[in-house]
Amino acid sequence: MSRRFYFKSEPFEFSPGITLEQEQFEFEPEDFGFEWDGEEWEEEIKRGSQEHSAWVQHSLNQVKGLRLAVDGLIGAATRSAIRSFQQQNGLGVDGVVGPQTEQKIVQALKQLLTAGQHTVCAVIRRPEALDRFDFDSDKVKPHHQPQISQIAQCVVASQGALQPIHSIRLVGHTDPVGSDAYNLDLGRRRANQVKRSLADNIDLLSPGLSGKIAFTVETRGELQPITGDAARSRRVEVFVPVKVIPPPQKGCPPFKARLRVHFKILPGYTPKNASIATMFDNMKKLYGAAGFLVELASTENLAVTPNLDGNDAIDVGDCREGTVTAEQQQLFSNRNNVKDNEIVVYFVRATSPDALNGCAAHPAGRPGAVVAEIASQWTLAHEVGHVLSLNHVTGEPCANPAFTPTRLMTGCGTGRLKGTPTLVKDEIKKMDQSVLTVNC
Amino acid sequence: MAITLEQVRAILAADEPDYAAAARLGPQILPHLKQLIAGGDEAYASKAASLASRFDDDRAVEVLRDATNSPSSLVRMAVAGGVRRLTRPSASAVLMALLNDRDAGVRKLAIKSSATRDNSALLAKIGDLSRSDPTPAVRSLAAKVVDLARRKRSTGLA
Repeated sequence: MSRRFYFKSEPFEFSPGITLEQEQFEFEPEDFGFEWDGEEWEEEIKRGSQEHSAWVQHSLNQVKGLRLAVDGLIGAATRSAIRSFQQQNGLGVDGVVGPQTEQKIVQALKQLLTAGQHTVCAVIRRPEALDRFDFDSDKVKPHHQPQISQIAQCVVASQGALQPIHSIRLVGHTDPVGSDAYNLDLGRRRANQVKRSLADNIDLLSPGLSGKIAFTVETRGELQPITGDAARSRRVEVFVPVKVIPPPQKGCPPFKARLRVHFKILPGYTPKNASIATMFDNMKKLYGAAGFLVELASTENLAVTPNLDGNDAIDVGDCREGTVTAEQQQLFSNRNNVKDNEIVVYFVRATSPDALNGCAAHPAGRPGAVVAEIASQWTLAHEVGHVLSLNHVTGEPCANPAFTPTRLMTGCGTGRLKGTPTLVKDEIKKMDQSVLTVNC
Repeated sequence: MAITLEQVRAILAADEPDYAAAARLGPQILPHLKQLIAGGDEAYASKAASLASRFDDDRAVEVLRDATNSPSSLVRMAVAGGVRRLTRPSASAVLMALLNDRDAGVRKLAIKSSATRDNSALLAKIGDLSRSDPTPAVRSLAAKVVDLARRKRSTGLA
């Protein structure tokens, strides 16, 4: 039987000067020409040995996406791959894996293991179906191993990501042969076997982590077959609650920088003057003309909570920068899926004690603003401008009804603007300097 | 020089009006505020209610009392939020009207504003809300206010 196994993850001197910690490198036992004995295997491997060469081949396959034969024999293809790796990593190009090359390979493997959730989780289907179990068998098949390994890697990688995975649901299925009761039991056994294998794989990558994952095992027996395909019906579906967050795009020409905003909408929010779409479209166009790409990263309808139930006007106190109320603290703590340098706009019914179109005062480290139902079509852009450290224009004759402001950051009211407002040079410079606008 | 309605409107057009500065125009603008509150624009009307609450004056209370009948819940919210600033005993009648408002958000704000006043009638009404308001969040808030008032009384802080 083909079994995947690992160098154990305990810290050990891998080679002179290189200590591996919490790392595992996968091998197929047949790669080494000896039998899997069913026991955990750990051993130092010596540079230049066949095992070491196999490790090099396997690692380069992982790191560079190659398909080198993992035979422990350094042939032309392996030598070429080593040279290529050395060249790409600024090493002396000699085709020999010495200490420096080894260290670089280890670093590259570490990067793979700690890669963002989106990298390792993106390939997982929802659900991931491990099918073609043998008839009347609950044994995990060798062909399931790559899927199990991928899920385990995703679970481990997610722990350092925004949405660590804490639960996994496994649902076992059977083909229609047999009684309902028997198949329900068989489905459960299959799900349990996959659970065990998955837990083992997770622990190999991150010892003890599987104990922190809530596995739920269910069975559907023969109730949900894959029509006309008994082999594919014999399956376990693994549901991994992973929401893949796409990595920020690299580069955003013709823009010089971008900012990402998230919208969180309280229940009952009903805009009176401008829809969210209009406000966002306006902001996007205006900021875009100033060189800033505005990305709407997410929109979430906030659930009702006892103390902040959507009926509320949000108490913003005097709406002064650096001063926030308990209600603002509570509201701005809703930052699901939001990174540190991203802005959240909360759409609320109203502000209290005074009626405002919006308020950009926010708790430290939680950049954002509230926008109320009475907002104008430019209020969103205006409040985000405040979040980006822009102040009101000074010296405007606001009390003069005949005055028509032209700038976004007018203190006279964006509702009085005629046409598209402007951002002046100093304001654009400030926006550029903000940590919330990320250079492309 | 008299302030015109249009000037007041222009001042209230700001996204974040400077209410403290606007209040320096004096209670003479209350008729304008009353007119704006009665107008159909909820943005101006709610801001006018907020500004009216900056005048601790019986005429302001009168304007706010009228505003409690506004069809706009945003206006009534503005009244409920602002009325806590008024120390006039007559402001309690405004709060009492708002505690009976049909909008839960208005009632919640009215409860918060009433909590700052030592008024047994308001407290009794809040007690009623803690038991019978159809909205759980209102009942919960009312119960907290009643409990706080009881504890204050028992420790002689009232």
